[in-house]
Amino acid sequence: MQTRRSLLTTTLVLALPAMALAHGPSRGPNGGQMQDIGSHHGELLAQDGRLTFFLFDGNDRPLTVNGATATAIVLGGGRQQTVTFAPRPDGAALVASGEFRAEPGLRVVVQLTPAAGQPRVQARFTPVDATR
Amino acid sequence: MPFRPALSQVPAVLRPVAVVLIAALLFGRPAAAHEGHDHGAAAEPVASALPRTESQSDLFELVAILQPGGALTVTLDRYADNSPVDGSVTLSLDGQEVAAERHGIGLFVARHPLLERPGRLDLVFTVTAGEEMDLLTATLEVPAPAATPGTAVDALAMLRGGAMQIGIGTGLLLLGLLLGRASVRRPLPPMVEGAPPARPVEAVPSDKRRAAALLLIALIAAGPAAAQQALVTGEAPRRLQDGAIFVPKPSQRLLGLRTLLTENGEASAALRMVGTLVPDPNASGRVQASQSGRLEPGDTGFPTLGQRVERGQVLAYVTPTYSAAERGSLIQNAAELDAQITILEARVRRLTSLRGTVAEREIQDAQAELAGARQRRTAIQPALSGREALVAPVSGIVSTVRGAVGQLVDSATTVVEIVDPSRLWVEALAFDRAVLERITGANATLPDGRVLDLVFMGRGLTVRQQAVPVNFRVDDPPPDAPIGISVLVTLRTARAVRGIVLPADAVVRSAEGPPVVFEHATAERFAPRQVRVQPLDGTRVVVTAGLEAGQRVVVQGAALIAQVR
Repeated sequence: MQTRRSLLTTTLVLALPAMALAHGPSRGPNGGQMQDIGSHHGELLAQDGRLTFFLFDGNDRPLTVNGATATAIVLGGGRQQTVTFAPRPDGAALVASGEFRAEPGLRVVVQLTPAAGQPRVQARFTPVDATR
Repeated sequence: MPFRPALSQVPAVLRPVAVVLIAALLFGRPAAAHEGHDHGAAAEPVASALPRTESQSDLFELVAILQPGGALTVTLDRYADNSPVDGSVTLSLDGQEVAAERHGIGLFVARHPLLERPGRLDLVFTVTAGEEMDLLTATLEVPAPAATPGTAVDALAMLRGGAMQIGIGTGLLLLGLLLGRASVRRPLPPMVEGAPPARPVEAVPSDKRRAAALLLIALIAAGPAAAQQALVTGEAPRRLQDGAIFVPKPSQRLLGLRTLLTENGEASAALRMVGTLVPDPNASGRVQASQSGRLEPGDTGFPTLGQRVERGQVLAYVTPTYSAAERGSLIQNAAELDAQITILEARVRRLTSLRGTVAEREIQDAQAELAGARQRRTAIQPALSGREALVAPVSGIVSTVRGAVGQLVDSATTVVEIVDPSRLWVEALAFDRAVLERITGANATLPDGRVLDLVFMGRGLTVRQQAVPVNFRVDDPPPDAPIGISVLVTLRTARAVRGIVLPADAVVRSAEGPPVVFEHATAERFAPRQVRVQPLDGTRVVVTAGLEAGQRVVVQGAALIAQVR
């Protein structure tokens, strides 16, 4: 068992650079789905009628969202809608609300301008689906 | 005539036009080619491809190609099997919704002014296909207008030797013809002496020539536009530097490429050997003559190929043939017997009329002698005039006929073979005797690819050519199964193999030798993967190394991809 664990660790350590290069979808610290968005990382947490978006830098350190603007295209329950994010009072996340249910099959495209003057970037989230 | 530069022969009116044309031909191409290259070396996988982007989800795979005219062609396919998906696609460009026009199954075209503006463009596709809906994102780099001719020049390089070169050649030929015609000295009008008035002669032809020159200029100007039109469909599949193969979506549709999402499975190991399709020994038979003689047709004519015959049916007769000596002695015997019978008959008659005066025993003896002589005469009668009936030993179809009416056949010659096509066997030679103990199933592959299920019947104990003969019964053979043909017999054994089960067509021989499968790496990129395969049955193989679960592998059209150079 011990050897297997150390083997696993070694594999992980060796594979880490590769994984860092090729981010697959994964769970973030707030329980949402992590995705690359431009040169940043974004985490989207979906609840019924409510989206919460956290922004991180390339090394997964949290960033404040002051100055960032974002919209989201939400596809769920056979309906598409566009919602606009607003910063949470503590400046740690962007929130948006709309009429959708957090169920598997929910697709969200977040279009983010990290700061004024920066180019807009976008990412696709499947916030409720099981991560592959 | 002293040498003069060709241009000086051109009439003065045309001279500037010709100079401009030649200059354009000489300097136009390098000038255009100078600018194109900063675009191609970027993120695009294929340097000379049209600007394109792709996106995929676990359901769909989408490729958007920006055509030279500013139209965005969108192809939509299933992610797993690469089959076109019918449905609808809506684009979101900078918050503006653009519905893509459906041009066929899984083919859409969208137009928007933003698509013609150079720069980075974030696209969101809303895909609806029946009950399934999905959002796909992509980023399209719209090249600067200055770069667009560059793209065309890159494409020209691709088309070099093709249509464009023919076009250039035709243009040059036309120019040459024009120059040649222009430089021909016109014959002077007859009956005119001295310097003719130049105006009336030149006025009409120069108009014609000017029109021709204008037409030529228009042709040359239209050249690049025509080439761009050709680009829309002119993207050819090709092998990339890293060995992967670029197959544009339109070509994938043409080739009918289909993929399979691999998953690990378990299959029983198989062993292959060569066998022969033979008739069931209990449902086939031969018709042979027992003595040499001449063939005569049966009651319903001579048997023909494919004819259905019933057991006991007379197919032909054999009339025995004798040598002159044999025939002579037979006739002599018959004559002697006939004479003897006549004498005996007379004696029986005489003795019977004297009944009472001669002994009853004498009468009986004479009668018995007569009966014996008659029997002997009857016995040699068939040898003189009789014939042997050839009877079908089994019911079935006439499969071979070796003989013709009137042909002389030896005894033991097979005249007709009869086979019941619904009862066939396969006889194979097994070189690995140990495997035969653990057979769980078998099938046979015909040369045309059809697969027949086999049932193990038995094996011989005597080796033949160092191999054990094994017999199988064909389960439900097709009516046109060719008897005697070689088949590939695949034995399934009890030993299990872990791996990825694929159709046999997915595996192709690479130019280097080892078997490869093509992984559908990205939407238009197919990467060859070397694999280790084992046969499973006639149509499937198991990949034991070289592939992992969750990869998309081409299962239909792999051989076509392998031919791309």
